[in-house]
Amino acid sequence: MIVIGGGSLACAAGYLAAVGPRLSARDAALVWVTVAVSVVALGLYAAAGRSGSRPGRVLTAAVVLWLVWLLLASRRPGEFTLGGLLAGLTVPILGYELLASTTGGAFLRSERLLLLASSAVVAICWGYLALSSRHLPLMTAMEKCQPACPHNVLFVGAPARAFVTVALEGLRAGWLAAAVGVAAFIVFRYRAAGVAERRYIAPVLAVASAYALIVATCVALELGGLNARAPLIWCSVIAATVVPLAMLAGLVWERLFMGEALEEFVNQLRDTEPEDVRMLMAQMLDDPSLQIAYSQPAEHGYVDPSGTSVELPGSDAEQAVTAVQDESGPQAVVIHRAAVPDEERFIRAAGAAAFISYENHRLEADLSATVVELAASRKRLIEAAYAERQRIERDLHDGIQQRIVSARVSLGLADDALDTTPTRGRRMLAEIGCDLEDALEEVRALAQGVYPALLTTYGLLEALRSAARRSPGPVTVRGDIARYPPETEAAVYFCCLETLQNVAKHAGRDAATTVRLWEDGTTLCFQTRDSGVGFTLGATPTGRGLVNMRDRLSAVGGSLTLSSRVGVGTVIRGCVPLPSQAPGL
Amino acid sequence: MSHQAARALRAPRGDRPPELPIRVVAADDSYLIRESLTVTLASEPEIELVGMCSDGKELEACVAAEQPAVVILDIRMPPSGADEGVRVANRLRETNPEIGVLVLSQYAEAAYALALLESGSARRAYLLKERIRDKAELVRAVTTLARGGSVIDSQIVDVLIEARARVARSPLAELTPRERELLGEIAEGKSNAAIAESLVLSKRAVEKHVNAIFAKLNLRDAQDVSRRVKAALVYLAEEPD
Repeated sequence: MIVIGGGSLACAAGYLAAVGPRLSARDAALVWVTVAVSVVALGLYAAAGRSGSRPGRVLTAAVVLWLVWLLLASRRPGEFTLGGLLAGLTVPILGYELLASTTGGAFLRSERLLLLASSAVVAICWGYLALSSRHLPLMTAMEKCQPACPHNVLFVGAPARAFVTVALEGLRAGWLAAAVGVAAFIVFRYRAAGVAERRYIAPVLAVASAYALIVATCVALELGGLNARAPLIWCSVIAATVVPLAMLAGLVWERLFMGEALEEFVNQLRDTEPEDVRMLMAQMLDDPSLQIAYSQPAEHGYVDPSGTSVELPGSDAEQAVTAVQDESGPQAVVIHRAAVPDEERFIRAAGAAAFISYENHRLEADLSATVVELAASRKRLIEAAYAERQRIERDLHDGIQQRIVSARVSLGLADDALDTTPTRGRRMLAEIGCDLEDALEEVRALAQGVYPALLTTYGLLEALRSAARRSPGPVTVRGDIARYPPETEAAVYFCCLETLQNVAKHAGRDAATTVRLWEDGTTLCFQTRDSGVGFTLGATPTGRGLVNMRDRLSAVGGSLTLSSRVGVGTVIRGCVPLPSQAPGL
Repeated sequence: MSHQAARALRAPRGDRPPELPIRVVAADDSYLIRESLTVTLASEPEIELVGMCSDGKELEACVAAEQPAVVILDIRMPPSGADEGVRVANRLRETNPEIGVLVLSQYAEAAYALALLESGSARRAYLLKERIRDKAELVRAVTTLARGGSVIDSQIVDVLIEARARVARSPLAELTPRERELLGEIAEGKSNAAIAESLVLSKRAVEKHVNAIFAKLNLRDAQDVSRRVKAALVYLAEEPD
């Protein structure tokens, strides 16, 4: 279409050069300025890259209208007659230009019907008049040739008077229908358009409305008995030049509006909760049905900020979907009224801003949840440490200290007894020895529970094997692991110990446990699997032990998973990230 | 858990009785333990306490100067405070293989005992610290070392045997209760004669039992007292397949 438009323009320029000398200087300048301005306007328009538009159609229509004007200036009968013939079609051609300039794209069936019907009516009536007139007496004021214009080469004979009247009525009806109809269609288009698109259409709509008014006025004047055909054609030619300028104005206005609207939208986003973003966007785009949904990669679907799943409309629905993408795929979608591609770009920009705001809110929420969980976990760890201290204190006082006190008292008694009844004294000394042995055993067990020396000396595997030997049930410890920072080893050790204790307590007498440990360079993992009775997750309270384990692991950045089935047993797996080793260390 | 004391074993064939008195150097960072050791050993005519040290460094100097037959040391000593005693013992294996080492430990952990036997079980003993209350037991352990034997605390062996027996399809299940008892005595470092004495069996019967046990467990060195301690201990401590 651009090629056809450009070709027409080149022909017009060539013709202009040929007939140029016959034009007055003022007219020639006017033509050149008009052509230049239009070309620049359309060039700018095309450069702005408004997708889906067809400036070529507009250009073609405008060039045809300029041709009319040039042909009518000719003194050669043939050219003059051709100009006169085309002059009758100026109104439908301008209607075509106006409609083409708003969408540039496809016409609706009704729009095409209007243009074709009005063109046909005008062509038939105007053709009849042209064939039946010696001179083309229609544009009395326009041509410079008055009063001696070139004759009509198509003249075949004088018409019947009644037919002339009918033809004139048909001509006026066709003009009026084309002008008013096109204006009405542009109003419809305006109303259906999105907020940004409306800015683009508005100037063309103004031109179309003004033109419809002029046509209506001219028709009214004609009905009043005046010949208003010449001003009408004049106005059409001028309008043909104004339309591209109106397009350019609309384009600029649209772009300015998008910029400002987006700026304001982004400013308001800062103080808007994710739930209210939809409303803000719907207001900005004047689309109450608008929805915004965010990708949920885990579920392969979309959710709104409250977490409700959102269904995307089908391809044949009235609503359109615009996706905000990055390399990994769609991040968010905006479901909106169907729009032209440029409007979609605008919506996509707003959607991207909304998505960033949503992400920010989500990360903030995640962060605060983590902080809260961290605080709770730290509190539990401290509480557990205090509880442990209390237990040690109780064990020391109630167990070991009692034994030592009793040994001290018995020692005094034995001392006395040795003087009087040596046999009894020696027996008492032996009892004291036993008491002290028991105390020793208790101290050893206590110290082992506080922190196993083996863990420090030989590491996790040896410490766990030792714990395994002390477990009431059969426990196997397997793994091929090295040494790790003390806090990592301690966290894993005490977690495994906790599971061994749980197995001893809950899994049943014959439950065998396998503890596996492995490491892949970045994480150290353990898994304990028992062949116990198992339990149903969620149905059985898991108690403090599991919370303790999670806390211990999370304190060193690790995590824990648990699975259990009745009759099969329980598997607990934990992983702890290892500190990255600096090269050379 | 048994508190039965480890017993000294009679010298393996070919070993001569030690020169008397046995020259002993002891090291412990605790003053109380040093005092107890001094008091216990001073009154013993078979043993001459020729040096008393408070850390590993002093001990090194003392060993070099005195050339004792046996060193008694605490497992946990400065500077490392972890298993310094075991490390000293392993170093001595390199420098002075003829010196016996008795490690006194507060840990009833097989891992330490195994670490001590890593470079060979001859002339090595691992006893819990409280055993020093029993002078006779201490003297027996020192004498065993001086003769080239080994001693492992019975409590450690008991824990190992119990744990090993719990495992499903354990080869220990194939042993008779008597054989299991014998395996414990072997791991403690006793000679056939000592086992015969403690279990009231003929020496011939003990030999038969020992061979049967080692065959069932697929172990070698049934008659070499010093080596079979390690074999039995390693077998008991290793993870079953």
